[in-house]
Amino acid sequence: MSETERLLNDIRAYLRISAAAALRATAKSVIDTYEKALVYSKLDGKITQIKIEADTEVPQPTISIWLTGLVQAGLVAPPDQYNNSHRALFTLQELGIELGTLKKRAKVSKPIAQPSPATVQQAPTEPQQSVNQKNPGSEKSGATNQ
Amino acid sequence: MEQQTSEQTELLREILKWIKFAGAKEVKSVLLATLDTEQKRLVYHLSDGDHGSLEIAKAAGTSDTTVRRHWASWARQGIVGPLKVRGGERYKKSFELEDFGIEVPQPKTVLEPNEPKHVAEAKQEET
Repeated sequence: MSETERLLNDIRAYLRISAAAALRATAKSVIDTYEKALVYSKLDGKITQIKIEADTEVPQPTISIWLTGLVQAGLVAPPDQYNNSHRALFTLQELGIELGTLKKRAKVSKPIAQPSPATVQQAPTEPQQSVNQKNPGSEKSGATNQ
Repeated sequence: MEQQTSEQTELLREILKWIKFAGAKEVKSVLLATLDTEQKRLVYHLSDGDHGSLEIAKAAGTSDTTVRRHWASWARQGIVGPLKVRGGERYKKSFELEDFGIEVPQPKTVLEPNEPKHVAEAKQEET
């Protein structure tokens, strides 16, 4: 490891801890349910919203709304030239959030945001591309090559 | 070119110095909260990237599994970083406990100083 790399690594380590500490209170108010924390923990910059929906059973439109809030709170980086999907900037542990202590959100019969009940029922089985068309700018497909 | 690199390195050193100054309190707080037993502090201190989990476990009087479990948890906490080595991965501490006035417990057995990774790799390439 070169001297420059060592210095940059040290700088990153200090900045991460300082930033996580500064955002801890915000994170606790934004990531306030078990499902939201679960979704957050899956944001590796590659996973698609459809895959998150399949893994967590949280409807994709709800995930999309949560992601917008998480980006605004500074907890998640939006898709960019290096990552096809949203990327969590911290781990839950860095933010002082324990999955086991969070309450599960109340079951709702309809997702938080949906154009119409018929569209929502179709959402889980729809091809990913059509979902992205419904939510322009929400997330790029993981299958898209750049 | 060489002079420019040297100036950039110097600039990074200066940036690191101020960032350390600004972030020391938070880092110490995380280290104290996370390394809440003597054994954890010792395992962390010995995680220098030159020694594997087996050696560290022996010196700290614990198991290899415990060392690896600590590493995984500390990586999520951001206080160690992964290091690729032959045959797997180990973790290296990102901070020196002494820099934050945190006492380092005595190891149960003395760890032999290993060759730094780049030296060992160079030797391996020669053979």
